Amino acid sequence: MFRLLIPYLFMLACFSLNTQALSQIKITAFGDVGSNNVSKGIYFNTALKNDFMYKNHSLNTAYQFCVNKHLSNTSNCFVDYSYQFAVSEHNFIAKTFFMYHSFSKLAFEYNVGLSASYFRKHFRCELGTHIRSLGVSKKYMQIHPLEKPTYIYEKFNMIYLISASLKPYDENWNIEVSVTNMDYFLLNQETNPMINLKAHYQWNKQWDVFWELWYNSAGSFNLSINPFDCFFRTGISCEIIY
Amino acid sequence: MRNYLLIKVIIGLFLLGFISCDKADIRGMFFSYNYVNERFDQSMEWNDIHGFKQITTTDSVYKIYVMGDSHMGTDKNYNTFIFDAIEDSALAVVMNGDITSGRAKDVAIFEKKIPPQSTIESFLLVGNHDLYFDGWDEFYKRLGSSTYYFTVQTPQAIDLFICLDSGSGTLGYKQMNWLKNILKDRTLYRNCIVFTHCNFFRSRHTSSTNPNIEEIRTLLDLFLTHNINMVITGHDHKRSIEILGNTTYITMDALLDGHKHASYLKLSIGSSIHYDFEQL
Repeated sequence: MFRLLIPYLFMLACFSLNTQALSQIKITAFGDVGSNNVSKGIYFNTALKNDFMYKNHSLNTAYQFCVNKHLSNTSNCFVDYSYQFAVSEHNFIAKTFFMYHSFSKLAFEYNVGLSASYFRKHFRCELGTHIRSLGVSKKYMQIHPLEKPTYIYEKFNMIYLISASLKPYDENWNIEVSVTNMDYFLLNQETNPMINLKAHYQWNKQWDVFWELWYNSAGSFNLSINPFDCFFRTGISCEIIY
Repeated sequence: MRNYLLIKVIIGLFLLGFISCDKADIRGMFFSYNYVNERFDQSMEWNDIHGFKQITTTDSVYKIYVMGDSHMGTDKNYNTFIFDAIEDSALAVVMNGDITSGRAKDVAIFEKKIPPQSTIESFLLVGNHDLYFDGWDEFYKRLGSSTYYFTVQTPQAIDLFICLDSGSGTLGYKQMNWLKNILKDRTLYRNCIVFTHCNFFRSRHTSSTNPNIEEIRTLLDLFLTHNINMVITGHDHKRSIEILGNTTYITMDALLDGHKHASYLKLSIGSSIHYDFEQL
């Protein structure tokens, strides 16, 4: 149980650091409800995400708790750092991240990666790469003593996002459609794209509410497409400016 | 104006590929002829009628030959594979998907090339290519189930072999539940080997699809929990061997005629499992 609290404690530490040194905080809470080929009926995920922004720098931490999946209850977290810059009036964001998935009592996954985003008024895209590592847990090693820990690596998988919005991104409401192989806590292989339809409404400078519909197929690049996952997400963000 | 013309040409070529591509059935990228849950139901109907095979051997150590991605058409490497298996007195051959191109005539020709059961047992699985051009109907009609298990009884113990349909890049929830139920009895068996077409890990950059990462995580957990010895896949056409815990994940080379690294896999199974690739 304590292990599950560690990411929250880490985020709390970042938050207290932020109140003294940084100029902007954005806290986002969201939940997913959906069904996929490996869930036991409907699954629920809840997540909390903190964005700490100072000038062009941004440090984000997030934690997710998943309930009622095919596996036992699981938790995921990530930390990313991004830097926003402009080249000849074109806006870019460079990002590096670390993601951890405790997807089973016997195994875990972590990802490290980096990406670059380019965005315009109605369009944004992101391209990057990551390394996926899968390993067995200490518990597995206790049950099945191994000479040495075993890992599986996937090196330099591609991550991508292509997104278009109905209105400019800084409007107080918008509708956006994306094709991507990444979500906050999920990095699919490049051959498993997901489609995301998102709407948001910002009713004042502080509060923003959003809704997302995600669809993820299997086998499209096998030329034998099947549905895999469909879920609905809703959440609320609160931005505090110092 | 130029760009507009270019877009038109690209769309035109794409649509042409949609209707005329002879090697790949492009429509499968957007809609399938059938879904894995339907195929699973049909496989279970077939299993109900024909049952699951139980092979008995007096040998303590026995051999099973495994190949994948023969993509017939042509059959030079396939004939070598079958000849070698029979010469080596292998107990069975497993053909791990993409056996044919999916075309009805290729499935019909392949059916005639399956060695008689009195000579050697054959176990077949569907791969994504076998599903092209509505290939599943022909595969099912002529070759039968693609989700089943078989056992091998030796004087010392019984080994379990599970064959799964991953031709669509997912097992689907029905097959996943079936697999979970089968694995509840895992402790009754000495060794357990899983065969399925789609490889799990991206050991290199290709356009071929792996199962979604959430499905892979679920399967890894299941295989670690039940101490599966080996998971044998194909699909990627290039061999790779990964180990996680006590489970070895093998992706085989293609057996395809003319393939630069064509090979098949020889399993030697006793109290432990040894494997060897035979280059063609």
